[in-house]
Amino acid sequence: MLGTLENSIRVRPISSELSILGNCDGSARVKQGNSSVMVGIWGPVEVKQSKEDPEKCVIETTVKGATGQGSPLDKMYEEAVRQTCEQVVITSAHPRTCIQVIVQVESEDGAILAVMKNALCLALMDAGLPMRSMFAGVSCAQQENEELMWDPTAEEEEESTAQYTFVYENSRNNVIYVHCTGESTVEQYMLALQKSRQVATEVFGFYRESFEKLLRKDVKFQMLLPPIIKGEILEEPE
Amino acid sequence: MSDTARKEIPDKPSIVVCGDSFAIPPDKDLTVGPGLVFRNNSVTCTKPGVIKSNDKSVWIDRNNRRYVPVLEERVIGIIIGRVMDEYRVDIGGAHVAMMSSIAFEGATQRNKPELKPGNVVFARVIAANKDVEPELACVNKKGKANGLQVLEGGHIIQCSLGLSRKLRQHKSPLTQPLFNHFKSFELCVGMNGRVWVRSDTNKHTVAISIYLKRCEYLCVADAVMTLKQTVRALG
Amino acid sequence: MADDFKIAQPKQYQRLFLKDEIRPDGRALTGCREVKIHVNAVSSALGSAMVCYGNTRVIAGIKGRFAEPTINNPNSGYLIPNMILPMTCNTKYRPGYPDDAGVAMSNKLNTLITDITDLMELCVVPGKVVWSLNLDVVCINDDGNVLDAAVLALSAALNNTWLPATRVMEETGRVLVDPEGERSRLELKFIPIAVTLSVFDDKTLPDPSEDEENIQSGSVTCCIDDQSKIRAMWSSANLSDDVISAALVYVQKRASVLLSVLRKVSKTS
Repeated sequence: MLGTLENSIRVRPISSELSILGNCDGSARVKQGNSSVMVGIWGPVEVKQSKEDPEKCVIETTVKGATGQGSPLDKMYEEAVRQTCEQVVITSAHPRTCIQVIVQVESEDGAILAVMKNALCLALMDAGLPMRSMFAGVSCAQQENEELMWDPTAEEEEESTAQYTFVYENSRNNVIYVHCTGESTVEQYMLALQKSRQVATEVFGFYRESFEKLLRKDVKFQMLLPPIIKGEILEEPE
Repeated sequence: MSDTARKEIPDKPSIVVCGDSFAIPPDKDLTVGPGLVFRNNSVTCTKPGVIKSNDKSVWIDRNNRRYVPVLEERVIGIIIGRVMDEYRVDIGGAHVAMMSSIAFEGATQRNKPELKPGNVVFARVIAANKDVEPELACVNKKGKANGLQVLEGGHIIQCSLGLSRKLRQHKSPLTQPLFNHFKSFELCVGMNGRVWVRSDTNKHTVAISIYLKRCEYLCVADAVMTLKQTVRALG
Repeated sequence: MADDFKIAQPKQYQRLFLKDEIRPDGRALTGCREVKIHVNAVSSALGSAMVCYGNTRVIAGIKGRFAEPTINNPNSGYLIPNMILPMTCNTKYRPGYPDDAGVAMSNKLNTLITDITDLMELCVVPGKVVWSLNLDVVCINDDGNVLDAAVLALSAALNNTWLPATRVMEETGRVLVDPEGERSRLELKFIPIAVTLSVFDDKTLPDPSEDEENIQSGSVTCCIDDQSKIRAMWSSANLSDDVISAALVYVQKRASVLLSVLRKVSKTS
């Protein structure tokens, strides 16, 4: 896994578990090194009347930190998670409903925003919500000697001069979310943006593997009933 | 566009993820089913699952948990209230469904079944649109019950939508062992992931419920063995 | 009639204008609203500034008080930004709890100003007393693009902040402000400027108004400092690399314009 990267790009091993929560419509846990995030999704469910949108579904997000106590950073993460969902989920497919997303950080050791996004993508796909594409989060930190370090640990993030988190989608390979702090030049930024895409491609491969594992059983089970497709309704024999 | 767009729809069921797209020859007449979006002579997957196709249609098969109402599907609903001449029915979807109080075989304004909150109905979805509330009826198009009814007694279990589809199959390999093992029981499977079971003794009902819940993670080959284990464990 | 159309089909309304290379409020596609900066708007603050982006109006005030330093950093002071979006500035904010958008914006301001000044300079008595600067940013009227205005107001306020002289009472060891002593200017390492581009269809529109924010498919905010280095970037839009590099070129150009306005105001004050 993650073996075809350029030599200069090193990332920590990534692992995932799908459909781990029994009561959620979709859930996933992603671990990258010592960072671990679990995401649960309910949806589409009924929405509070005051928030109802007649044209699209509302996305409600909650982020819980590893310590359990609320921190002001959580609100920023919530905004980030919501914005990414709105970019990829086809919200017009379920108007007047709500998708609830709960993100629980289990342990935090760097690149947390990227791990969150990866877990979010797997959970959204596990819930079977209509999405335009998949997305993958990649974190990288720029060291003082201007070298880039992918998937940094908390310690490496602390020492770096700039931190980037990019989220890429796989239909047009565009970037759908950027969170960048610290000090960098435009050239350094563009370099990080282009090089991180390689990592994203690997993560997409990892998603596919995860789902192949999950769905292998379903391929064997020959479904004889074709689904009811609008326009040609199957008549029940009298 | 990425190079995946030039791929053809695979003949065998195979696993796809969101964003995969397959080319469709422009002269082919194909119905695009759930999980796929048609754009620029190609279909793009919107959810991960198993892509399946026949010569008329293509769709993605995926085991979901949240029910989204579809026209003409049979569902098991629980009455939660009444507004004027309509019942409010919970069918496990995003919205509460409505059912007319005279949507039963032979029911008239004067003579109709009185349902209370908590009653269970096996009904047909007669209106399903993302913009309006779903509507149910306990009669088919010709006004006959045809199996649709109020379900009395028994026990309801909640399962995934995929499992309920498997169970609803004609001669499903998962339900066959039940027919061979038990002499009399009633089983009603709704497309919304609810299964209603009733039998002569509570013990049998419990055994069937446990077996059906286990089916969620079962290979077809293990079905008979699992049923035997379940029955034996209950004594 | 036009108003009805705008309410019923806001996206179509916007598209009709964009087709003719103009925006509903009469701006060109890359045009920005007029920016006004008024420094030292609040006389009781150590430094303050009011910024207008068209109808969007944001005021930043800096208040200093003495505080105890942390054990780990006995000589560094504090900078505590706080973004306040009161319910009076726009109907979308509700009374009661601080709005989530405000908390998220406070966080963004916080990451932006982490290194803005040498925190050691805020030390009064090493290990005992340091300055704690509360950077309160209040939105008076929200007509879109509050974040840009907030960053500009904060930069202008910090750039015009004078710390009063202090003296230590010998008997009690208490620290007092010395009104007769010479004030010292807060030295900034860099001046951040934020520029937001709103993404609608395939166009990137700078300085979005509130109507444009409501229908945008995403937005890019880039913070550039006076040495034209990227200080922060928050983007939530589907963008290709070419669009991003074009946006960065625009942002640099726009930031230098805003910076010259800020410098001019600071000099005259």
